[in-house]
Amino acid sequence: MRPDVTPEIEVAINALIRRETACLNDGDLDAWMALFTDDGYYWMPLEADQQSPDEHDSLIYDNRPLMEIRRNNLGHPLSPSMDFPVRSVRILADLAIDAATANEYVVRTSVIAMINHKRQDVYGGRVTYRVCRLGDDWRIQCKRVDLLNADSPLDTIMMYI
Amino acid sequence: MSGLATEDLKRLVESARVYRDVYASPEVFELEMARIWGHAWLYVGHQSQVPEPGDFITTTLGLKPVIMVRHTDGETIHVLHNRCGHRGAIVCYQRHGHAKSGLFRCPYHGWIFRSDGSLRTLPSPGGYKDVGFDADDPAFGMPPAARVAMYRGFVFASLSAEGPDLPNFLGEAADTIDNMVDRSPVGEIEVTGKVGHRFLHRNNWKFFIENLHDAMHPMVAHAATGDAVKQVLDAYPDSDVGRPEAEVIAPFGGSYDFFDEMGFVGLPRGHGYMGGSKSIFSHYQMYPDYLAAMEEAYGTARTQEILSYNKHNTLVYPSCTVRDGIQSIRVVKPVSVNETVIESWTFRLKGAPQSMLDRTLRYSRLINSPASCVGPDDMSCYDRIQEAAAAGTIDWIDLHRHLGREVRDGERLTAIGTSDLALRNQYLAWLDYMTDGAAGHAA
Ligand SMILES: [Fe+2]
Repeated sequence: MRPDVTPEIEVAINALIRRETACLNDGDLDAWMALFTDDGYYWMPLEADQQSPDEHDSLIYDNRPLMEIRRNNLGHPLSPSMDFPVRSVRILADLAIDAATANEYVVRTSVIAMINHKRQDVYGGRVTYRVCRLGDDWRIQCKRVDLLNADSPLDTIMMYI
Repeated sequence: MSGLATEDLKRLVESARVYRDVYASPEVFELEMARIWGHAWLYVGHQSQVPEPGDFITTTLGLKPVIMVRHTDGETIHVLHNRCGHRGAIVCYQRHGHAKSGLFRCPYHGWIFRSDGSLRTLPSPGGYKDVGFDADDPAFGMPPAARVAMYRGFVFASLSAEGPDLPNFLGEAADTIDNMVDRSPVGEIEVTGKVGHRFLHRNNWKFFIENLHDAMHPMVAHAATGDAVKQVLDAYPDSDVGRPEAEVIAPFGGSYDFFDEMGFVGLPRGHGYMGGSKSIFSHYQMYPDYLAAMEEAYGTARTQEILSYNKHNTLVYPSCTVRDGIQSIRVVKPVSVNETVIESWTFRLKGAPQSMLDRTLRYSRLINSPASCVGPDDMSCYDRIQEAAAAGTIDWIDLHRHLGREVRDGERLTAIGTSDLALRNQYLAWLDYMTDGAAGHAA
């Protein structure tokens, strides 16, 4: 551990990531979005070593307006796919924290997620967060999810992983 | 190979309805692979995916694995059957890569092939001497597809030695490819990245291409997404928040009149397109730096001509659908009677500003990605018909809308956008391919 990841910081970041996981498991996208900075984003690349969402396609690259569109869309009564509820659970492990700058930290974890929607799909991947302290609060600047099978034929992905 | 006679096949397709077997019968699917996918020109890939000699991608033609490779001459692009001439093993599973010195080596017994598919090396060749083995027989190589041709960088192949050449096969559909390339100020486009989306559909391949020109569904099936976008726009009334996203998604909630005015043009061989002077892309904002680059390259009049060409989707039946206005292509990969993979590829307009690629990628994420908002709703609708057709809860699937109101204009059939002509035109070609011309339609 780098010297500036103090036990207090580690506790705070762990709490942030736990809360983020809980929000997704509960399907509470409003609470989930609030954990991001205003310019925060969620990125699920298409290629394992993809450097940027601006040079190639991605599975998901959502800024705040898109998170809000997705929230409004999920469970919408006019949506044909919503005859089936979306239920999901994810388990994070191997969380490691590195200091990026004095105020920003990089968090890496592994994830296994199951999304139930008509069928049950299992996803595994690596997650990289960049988080920062805003006053007494901690927020997510970006969350990158690299699925093991991002380049395989994929069924509809109904929920953030 | 099949118990289905021409008479049986003709009974599946009537002028205003199709029998459920076209979606649900494994026997029909098997025949489609032989008679449609075994004859038509199929999209393979783009030349920019294999820039250097020995560069290759692997893909499929119908169900057959193939390799598209840039030959060691640096010029020719070959499409080879991806199988060893020895025991038939698939030679290469890598989705893309570089064959050193243009050579492919079967990992089972080490037979080595050149980038034109010919057999180069047999291990311990003495065993094949004087036993009646002919190393020059192409069957012992990786045989090329029967025909391969390129149109403005787009590589197509046919598994049949006979039939129209590629320009004649494409006909007017080629204009859409032209327009996509012409939208680059330097007249060149390139595929972004190494892999595109691969969206698994658990339903028949025809649902996807039928849905493209089904203008009666967006305002219903995508009403939720349209509303989801509107709520965001309403939440930020005096700001740019959500505008770039709305630009892409909002037209999908267009009115019946909007789609009617877009119109549909049916071309021979099942091809067709919506739009022309008006499409889902008509209201896209013009980026001044892009316009300047285009006018610099082409002059004002020609630029206007290129950019006012406005088609929604051009279907090159049966294998791909081209969106020139947004520089993307979707490729149909049938897997079984009720399984299909839809691949999406995005293109960079060389010489155009980043804002153009940003929009292409935004569109692809929002519309083409397996994680898109609109995709699950389309998918849900295809699944519903697939499952009903398989269960036999419906026998005939209807195609009556605006029947007989289409207008013939030379080889083309035109209609208002919400006419089922868009679907009927595909079945004219379907029947023609399936009955080998015996159905009597101009194919
Ligand atoms: Fe749709």
